[in-house]
Amino acid sequence: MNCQIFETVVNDLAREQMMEASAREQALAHSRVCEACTLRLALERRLTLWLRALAVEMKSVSPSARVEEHLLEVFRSQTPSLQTRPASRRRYWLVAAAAVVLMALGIAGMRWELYGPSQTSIKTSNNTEAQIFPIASTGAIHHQNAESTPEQTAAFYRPRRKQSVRKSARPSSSGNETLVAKGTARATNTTEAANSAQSEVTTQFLPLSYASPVSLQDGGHLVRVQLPRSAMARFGLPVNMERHGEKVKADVLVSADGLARAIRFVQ
Amino acid sequence: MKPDNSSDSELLQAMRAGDEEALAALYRRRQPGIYRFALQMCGSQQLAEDITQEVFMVLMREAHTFDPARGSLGAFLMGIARHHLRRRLQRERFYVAMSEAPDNGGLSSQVLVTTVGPLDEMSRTEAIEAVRRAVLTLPERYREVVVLCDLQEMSYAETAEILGCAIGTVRSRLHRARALLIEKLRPAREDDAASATVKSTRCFA
Repeated sequence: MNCQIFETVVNDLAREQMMEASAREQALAHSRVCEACTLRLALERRLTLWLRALAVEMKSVSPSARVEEHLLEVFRSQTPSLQTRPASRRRYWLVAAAAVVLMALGIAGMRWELYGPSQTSIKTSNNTEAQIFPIASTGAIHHQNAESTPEQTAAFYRPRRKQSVRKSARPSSSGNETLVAKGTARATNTTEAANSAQSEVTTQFLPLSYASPVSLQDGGHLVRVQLPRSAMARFGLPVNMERHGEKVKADVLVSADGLARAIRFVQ
Repeated sequence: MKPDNSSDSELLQAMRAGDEEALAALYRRRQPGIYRFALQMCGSQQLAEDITQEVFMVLMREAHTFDPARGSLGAFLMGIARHHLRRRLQRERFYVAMSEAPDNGGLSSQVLVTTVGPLDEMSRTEAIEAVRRAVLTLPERYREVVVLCDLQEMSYAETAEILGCAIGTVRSRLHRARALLIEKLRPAREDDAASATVKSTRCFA
């Protein structure tokens, strides 16, 4: 062993730490022949001695009793909140979950009552259907679109494109294109304008209120409007989030009493 | 449950459930080490008490953050104490308390330590006081290993766990810290050869 290696073990030697027996023997043997290392070891041992004396001296020190008193006081004041917090949080979540379930059930019930499976479509005077999907099928569409792929989204629009094109191709004089009541020329014109562009792709009519189902027998007309694209989401339609700030065209079906009854989106 | 016979984890669980006795038992079990560590690190009883109190306040507030898989509760509490102590020392670095004015010790303690006679020439009380002051003048990272390994008599592994570093780092810091302590406590009049020996230790630290 040389002085450099001795230096690496001198602390453990002086502090009487566990070390390999052979290393310990070699270090002690070196300290017996090397004067500098003897002095080094002696200083380290003396330092250890006094550090231990200091440690013993400080063993008896402790913080004042008021620290414990203060801590317990704080603990007592906090304990009720500590104990009730998890319970209140659980209760909060239970109440919130119950409220959500009740709201969902309520909405579903109301929709089912208003737009039952028997009211699947509203016929126009000339057997042209302004289809307003029953709630059940609307819900199905919404569900489908929630997980829809671009292909599924395209499929959703496709049938309507054909229908729209077919309808537009028919002569308007027969009236079978219109969604309005007979004899309402203005409404007919509006409808024609709305469907004039053969390239337009439309969704099916979606109900706008929980009032009585739309009856085009009573008259009404279509109004072309522009809405924020995000409005489509309210009807369960897929929205391209990259274009959510843009406007989208829509036809609002206004009944004879002046109330908006249904809407369809135009692409 | 008998608080004195319970493990730290059991006491901690009971404390979280609102058992005051459990907190008291935990405090009595763990406060000596924390208080001594803080006192040996900063030298101020007031600050050490503040740190001890703060550690247990944190334990009350954030007991859920303790993960037994990552270490013992003792190491966890000591880690909190170390963190708070470092912050306090950093904040109060520029302030000198009236009782610690240079005239009464404080900054002059280093001079006092370096100019007193060799350890074996001093009375026991004087020597212990000199060692205490010398420890306090060590740089923080060296002071904490001396306090933990030599004064708290913790193993290298326990110290490494508290400091969040490798055992090798603890060993090398302790080596350097002890060399600095010897340098501070050695009499100025000792021969140069011996000083050179001590100084040479730096090369291997």
